[in-house]
Amino acid sequence: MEIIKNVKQPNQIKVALALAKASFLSTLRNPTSLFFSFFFPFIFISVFGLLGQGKQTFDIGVREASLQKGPFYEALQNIEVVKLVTNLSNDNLDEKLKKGEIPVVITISENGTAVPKNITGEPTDNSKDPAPNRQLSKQSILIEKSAAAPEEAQTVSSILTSIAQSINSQSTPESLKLIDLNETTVEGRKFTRIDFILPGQLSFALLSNAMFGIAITFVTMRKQLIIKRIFAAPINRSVLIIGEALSKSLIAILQSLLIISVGHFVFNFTLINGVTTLFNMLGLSLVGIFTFLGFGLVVSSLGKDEQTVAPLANLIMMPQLFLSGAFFPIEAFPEFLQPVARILPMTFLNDAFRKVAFEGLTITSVLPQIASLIVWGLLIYLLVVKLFKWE
Amino acid sequence: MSKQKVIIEVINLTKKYADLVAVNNLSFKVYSGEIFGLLGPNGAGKTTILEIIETLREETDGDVVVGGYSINKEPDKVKAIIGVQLQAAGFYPNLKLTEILELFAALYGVSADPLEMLKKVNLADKAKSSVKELSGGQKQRFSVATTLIHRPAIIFLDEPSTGLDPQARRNLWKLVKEVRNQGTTVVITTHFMDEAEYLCDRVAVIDEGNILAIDKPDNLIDALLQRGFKKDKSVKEANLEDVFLDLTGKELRD
Repeated sequence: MEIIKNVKQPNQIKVALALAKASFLSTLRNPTSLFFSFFFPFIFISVFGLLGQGKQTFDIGVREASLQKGPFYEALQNIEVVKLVTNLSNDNLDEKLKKGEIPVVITISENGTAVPKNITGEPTDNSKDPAPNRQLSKQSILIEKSAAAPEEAQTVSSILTSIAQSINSQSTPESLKLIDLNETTVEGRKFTRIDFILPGQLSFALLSNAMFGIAITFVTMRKQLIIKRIFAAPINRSVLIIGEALSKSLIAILQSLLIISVGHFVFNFTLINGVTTLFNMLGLSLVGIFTFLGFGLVVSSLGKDEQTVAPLANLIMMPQLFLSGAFFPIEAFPEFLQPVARILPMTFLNDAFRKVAFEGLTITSVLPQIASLIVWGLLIYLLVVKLFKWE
Repeated sequence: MSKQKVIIEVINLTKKYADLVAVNNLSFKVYSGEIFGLLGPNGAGKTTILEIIETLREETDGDVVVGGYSINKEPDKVKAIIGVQLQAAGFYPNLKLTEILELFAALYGVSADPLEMLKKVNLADKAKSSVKELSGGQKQRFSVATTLIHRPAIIFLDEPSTGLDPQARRNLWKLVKEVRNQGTTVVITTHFMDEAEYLCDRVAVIDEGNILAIDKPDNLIDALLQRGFKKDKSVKEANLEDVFLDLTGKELRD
């Protein structure tokens, strides 16, 4: 027997990178996947962006008993898309709420006071303070939403949350320049229609791309025996999945970047905290793609060919599309559906996007959503390990 | 060329599917530096045997030792020393030939010059093309190139000439002989007897998972004649393929 010595084994990390590169180039040169990854979201965002060019305003009813002053009220007055309706009686407001003609009615009431202090906890020096003796009244805001206009109600309540959030974050006791900051807040933030739409679009684009991208890739590679040929080489099987996942994640990041850029530069999507928001959104995209790729891998194992994969992918995607709150608020669904809707992976991603991009929260405040997505991901990958078919 | 050294030893190999015995307790040896042919009609078990040796399919029983390594104990070492061409296997559809060869070099952890390899199989002018732009013969030659990229000791070719025109077939034969002459052992399956007769140093005739005969093609023919075999028709000095090649020329058409 001739014994062959010095058998060379490849470095599996280099193999994963080589496979990722091959998959990445192959996807970028495939007109179909190029269309679905980049052109389609571009069209999507453009259509919604253009629709939003027409000025849409939301009416907010103000109860007779409500205060009509304070930073919250002033901020509302300065928001273009919001129109405050102050001249209606309570009965009239109730009527319009029921009919959905006014999506939200608010009541602002005094609720004690908050005295600003400086970092050391001593009272602020009044002689240097531009607005001496100003005490911030603590207000509580009651929001009544119309069940007849759930989409609008959700949008408006998001705006209200966002304003409350930005006022609260700026009037912490640690803040010395309390008044200045309040003045900038009072200028108000411009909400454009794209601000409401883009986060949902983004999570949907990521879901559909991850699902179809990886499912179709693996089905094709199985059918054309590309996987079999690759496995004739001395490589670890899981390296192929890792390589594919790397390439698809890179594509997802580019896709998110494109959607956010077009949204921002062409349709004035507000990056509320600038580059930080951008990076937060890209980071969330990565977490989302991780979980969604798992779904794609499951689908590619259940489906035999492109014809069976497409309906299966839709079966997983469509319920999430409608139930995740990206396009319709979860409160609008029958009660038995709501708990289901709240635990869907896309719901978590969508919530996280909305909080970070729209309400301007920090990435740490969406850790529950991120953790939930990762738990979903781990469960799905357990299923992948059980189901995945190489041939 | 030492024909004495065994490079592949198949030992009592059996493969059963539900109620079908695809490979029935086979044992045979392949010698270093030879072109060894597995012959048989479709469904005889050729591909199954090949894929078990290539570690792509699990055997029911038995073992195969390739270059000193058992397919059961050290499949990764076996994989590293062999080059595999699968029947109808595809490659990434949108990659250039050089990019695919670079990928395969990485899969085997070697550095290789893709252009040099393409020159070897006469495809240097197609370096920037994708596989789907190649003709049938070019595809097969490229497929052979991917099996050679890591300079394996043995290559396996599964029905490489199926679907090729006579010119492309002859060109592929020339390539296979060149590969062997550079020291690589070749295991090839075919159901074309002219191909086996021209190419193979030894052949095993297989049907229904059993080896019916194993020897040099000449010896098998002589043995048949000794048993008193006579052809129905007297054999002429040339056949229709010779006429075809004489009329259309031997040079490649792709």
